[in-house]
Amino acid sequence: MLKTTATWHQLFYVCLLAGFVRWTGIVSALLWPETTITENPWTQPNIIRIPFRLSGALITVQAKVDTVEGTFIFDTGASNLLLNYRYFKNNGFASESGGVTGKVKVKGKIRADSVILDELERRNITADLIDLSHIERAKKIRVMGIIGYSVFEGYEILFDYSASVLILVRHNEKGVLLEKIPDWEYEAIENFPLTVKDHIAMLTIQFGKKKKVFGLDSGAEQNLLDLLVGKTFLKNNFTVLKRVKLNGTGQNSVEVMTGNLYNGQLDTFNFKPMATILTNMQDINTIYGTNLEGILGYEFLSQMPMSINYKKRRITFYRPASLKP
Amino acid sequence: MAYKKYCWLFVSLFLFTGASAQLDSSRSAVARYFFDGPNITCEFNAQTYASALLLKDSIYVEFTDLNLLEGITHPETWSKEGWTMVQIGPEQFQIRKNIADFKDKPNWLLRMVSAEMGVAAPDSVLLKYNIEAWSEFKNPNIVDPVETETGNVLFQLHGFTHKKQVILTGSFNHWNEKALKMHKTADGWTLRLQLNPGLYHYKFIADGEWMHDPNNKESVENEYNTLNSVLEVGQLVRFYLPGFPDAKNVILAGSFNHWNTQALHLQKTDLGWAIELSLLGGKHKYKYIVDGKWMLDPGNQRVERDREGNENSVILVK
Repeated sequence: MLKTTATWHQLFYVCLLAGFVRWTGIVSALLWPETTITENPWTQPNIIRIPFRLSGALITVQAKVDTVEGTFIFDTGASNLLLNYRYFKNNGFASESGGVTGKVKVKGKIRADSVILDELERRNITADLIDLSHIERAKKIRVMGIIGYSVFEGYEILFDYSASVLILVRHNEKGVLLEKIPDWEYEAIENFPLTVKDHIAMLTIQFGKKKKVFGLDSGAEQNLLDLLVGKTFLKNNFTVLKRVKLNGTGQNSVEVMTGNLYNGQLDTFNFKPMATILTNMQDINTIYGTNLEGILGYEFLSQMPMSINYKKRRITFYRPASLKP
Repeated sequence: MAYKKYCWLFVSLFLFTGASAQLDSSRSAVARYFFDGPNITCEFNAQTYASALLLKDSIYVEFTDLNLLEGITHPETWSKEGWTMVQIGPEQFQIRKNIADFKDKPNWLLRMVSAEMGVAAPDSVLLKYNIEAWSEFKNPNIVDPVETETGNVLFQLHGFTHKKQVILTGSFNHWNEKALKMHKTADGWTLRLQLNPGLYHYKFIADGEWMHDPNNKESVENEYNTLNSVLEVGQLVRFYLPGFPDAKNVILAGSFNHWNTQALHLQKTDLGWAIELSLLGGKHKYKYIVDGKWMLDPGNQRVERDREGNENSVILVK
């Protein structure tokens, strides 16, 4: 019994000594394999408020990718980080091989050491290089790139267009927020389920008795509606205003019909009429890997503050606390 | 009495019909679209359409690129880009396209520039929702600045009085080359605008010639290898720390001054400490340093942790 106690004591001292050695870093490699040191050397804040400016109806934010700093488009319709070939072509290609996805040509890939968006920092992120000169010409601004899902993954995104601010709230692997959006800032009034396919959050909206599935896409200046959505649906819910020929994104001119989409409803929420383009959505569905009948962009997202949680698959509508009754 | 009642009914009906006609006139004057079975149909009156075309009313004339008037002499054979024509009255025509014949597929990038195309939207249905008809797609959150006598920024260009017209253009109005005409004065040109806090680039266009502001030393080179003049518009923000009557030195440090710990000394007031600063639009992080001790702003609930784990008070200026 005594012998056993002595052994335990010895073991305790050995452990204490080993702990000291570990702490001081001496022969740590022998005692602890390198896999034990896995903590990130930096922390990620739980709530990040990111002020934005609208260019047309696109959200533009200031960000820094490696050493290049400037204006980026915040786009929930993009799956990853897309960088403007013009400013990043000399940053070292990870791959020269491009590809054509939904008729948007990828000129190559690079690995960005760091992406800094306000207090959000991502490291070692793969980005596609694409030609954004058409967007720059249309917007009359320099666009360094497009910030897509892989950059803000792990965060719930609150859009508040009236205050020109995005709020990123970190969540765990189950989608539970690590910190709550303060009640004094935004009061949640209702939430609805989403479906998520890859990086596209999809919301089912009612139009009278019909239900239609739309993708939520902050990169869409107007909503899109597929021409094949149904004749009766169009007659009841869409008014055509004008035939338009769009051009300027490396495509020949594209004929679309523009108009307004009416009668959208979600439970007790009646949405305002939304400027919408009636068109063939096949190429966009191919790029998203979806079979959407429409896309809700700025016209929808700006109707009230709302947040998208991709993990919980939930959209929440808010009332800014300043407007509390 | 019954006569009077019917008379009012008649007057009301008349007024109602008149109002409806007025609401729709902007659209039906030239062309009106509707869904007709498998087709999208555009109906128009040839004469009205022709006069609109002559006036180059680009908002309402839909098919100028299709040489429509040429086609009217032989409507039954007119066809272009999948649209065909039918004459339905002496001056009334319809052109139709089957929904299945819209083959163009916008690519992924095109969804990002659709606000630039100028959508005509005089829409009577919108008016029912109390939304004013737009002459083009307008983003309600971005109202391009217009001239105002009470504006916070006076733009001035000295000289150039021999020019016929000078336009002010800049990042504040998406470099619109027509909207802001400056006024000629005895010694130059002026225009006053109300601008939100922020950093702007601007230039003048004097009789078609682009030029930076020769009296503004702040400028940056643009992608055309010329200069853009730079303007900073700030918003006055009052920082106030109540209490600390015995403190000797209260300093404000923040992202707006690179966390300089010496520069911004708060003034002692009756009930605390205060300082006013002009800040640009955006997010600013800050803290007070009271006699060497850092502290958050107790009057501001908006606190954020940064990447290093420090907590800061945050102010959003719009």
